[in-house]
Amino acid sequence: MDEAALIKAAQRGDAHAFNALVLSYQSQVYNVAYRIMGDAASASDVTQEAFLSAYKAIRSFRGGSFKSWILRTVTNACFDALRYRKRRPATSLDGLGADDDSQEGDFEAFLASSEESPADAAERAELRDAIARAALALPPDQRATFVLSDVQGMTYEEIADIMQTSLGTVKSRLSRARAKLRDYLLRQPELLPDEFRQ
Amino acid sequence: MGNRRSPLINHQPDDELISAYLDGRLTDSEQAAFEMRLRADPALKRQVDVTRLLVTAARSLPPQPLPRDFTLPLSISAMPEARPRARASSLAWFLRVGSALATAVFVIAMGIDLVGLSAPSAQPSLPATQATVAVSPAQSEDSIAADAAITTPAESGAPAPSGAMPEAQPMQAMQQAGPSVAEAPEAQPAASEQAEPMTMPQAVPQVTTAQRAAEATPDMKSMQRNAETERAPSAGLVTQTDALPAPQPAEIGPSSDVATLPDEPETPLPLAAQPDATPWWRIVAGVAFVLAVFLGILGWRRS
Repeated sequence: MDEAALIKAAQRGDAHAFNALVLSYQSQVYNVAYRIMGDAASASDVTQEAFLSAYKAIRSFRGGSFKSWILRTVTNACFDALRYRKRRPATSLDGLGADDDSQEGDFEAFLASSEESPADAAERAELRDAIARAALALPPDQRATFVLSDVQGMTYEEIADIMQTSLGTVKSRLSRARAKLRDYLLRQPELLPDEFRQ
Repeated sequence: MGNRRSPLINHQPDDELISAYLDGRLTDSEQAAFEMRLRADPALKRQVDVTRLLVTAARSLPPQPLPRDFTLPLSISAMPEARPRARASSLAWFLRVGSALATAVFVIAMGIDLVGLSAPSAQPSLPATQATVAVSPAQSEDSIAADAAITTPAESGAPAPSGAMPEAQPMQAMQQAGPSVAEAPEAQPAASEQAEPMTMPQAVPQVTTAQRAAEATPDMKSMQRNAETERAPSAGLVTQTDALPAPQPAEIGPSSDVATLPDEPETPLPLAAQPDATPWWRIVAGVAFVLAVFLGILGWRRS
């Protein structure tokens, strides 16, 4: 059964058909949630919540890209979870704000803390892990844009559709996220290949 | 720390250019101009190279293995709270439509109240037994004569009433008011059919009415005039009432026929005929308002 037929069957309440869609997208949905949330437990919870919400709301799906629709669902679920986490000061990612102004200080604080032990960081993490870790200090909207674009390889148009925003906003968020991560790498030369070190 | 933030601030436009350049989003001319800058600016070229490395490394991040299967249990389709919201949505739609209709009824009923269409419709609210307190044509002619008899004291400058007149007095007069002179013949059959229940119209003898009218306070007079003004469309002798300072029973015209009738014991007015009885449109408006709120809340909760 093709995807359109599965969607129609799921809209009639067929749980088998919806589970077939879940099997098709659960890996991508979970990985997006993992890169935005930063840990497996939160990503698992958010993914389950996103699929349950999608099942309840599948009648509101009016066509188009189901992949974008389901990724929008999980992205929104991640934002909700991050907002909830921010209201709980005891959580590990305390201090991550929703607005960019407050996030600038968070990112700088993250860079400062990383600089305190560059040797340890170079020893325990490869470049990719360092990037993934640094991305978690980005503001949520920039983080999601970076994950969807540079981790998941989606186009600007797909990201704009998923995040329900304009193309210009996607470009702006992505360029700011890349610039912050790039500056972080430039301050951690031990993480870079030899040809990039000065 | 401030000098470290400077690259983010000073090169913000370059950041967007770098990002667009790496994603192939620049036009041919923009790309050519940017590559010329890269050849002339080693710092900018380093930024581009590191950004390219960043993007390449991010795209090579290994996918995380699934901690578990995220398929939903098949029993979920039997759970009302997890079922797709089709049924709830249709019910919510009906509830909203019902709420909208109730709101429309409420608005119409209040419009009737505000616009004043209620005045003509107030008359039918009286029981038929009182509304059809009609007299025969002969009695109607007599009533005109009685009008003159009753209005005489008032016109003669009677002293202000004491104000002890019962509140039911104007209503009694109104109940005694039958149809206008022109309507009297048509109403006569109904009156003959319902003659027995009508013990009240004959309750006020002429002398008593005249005396009470003479005792009416100025406030009572003004109240009665207001009441007459509201009943003007159904009253046959409106122009007379405006000219008469006397109380209502003498002004309504045919109603004063009762003054010529023999005395009978007064009976209490039916509740529906009381002046403060709630009009039907206000009852409808109240019911519609409650329905609109109730259905609206239900529809909102279902959606």
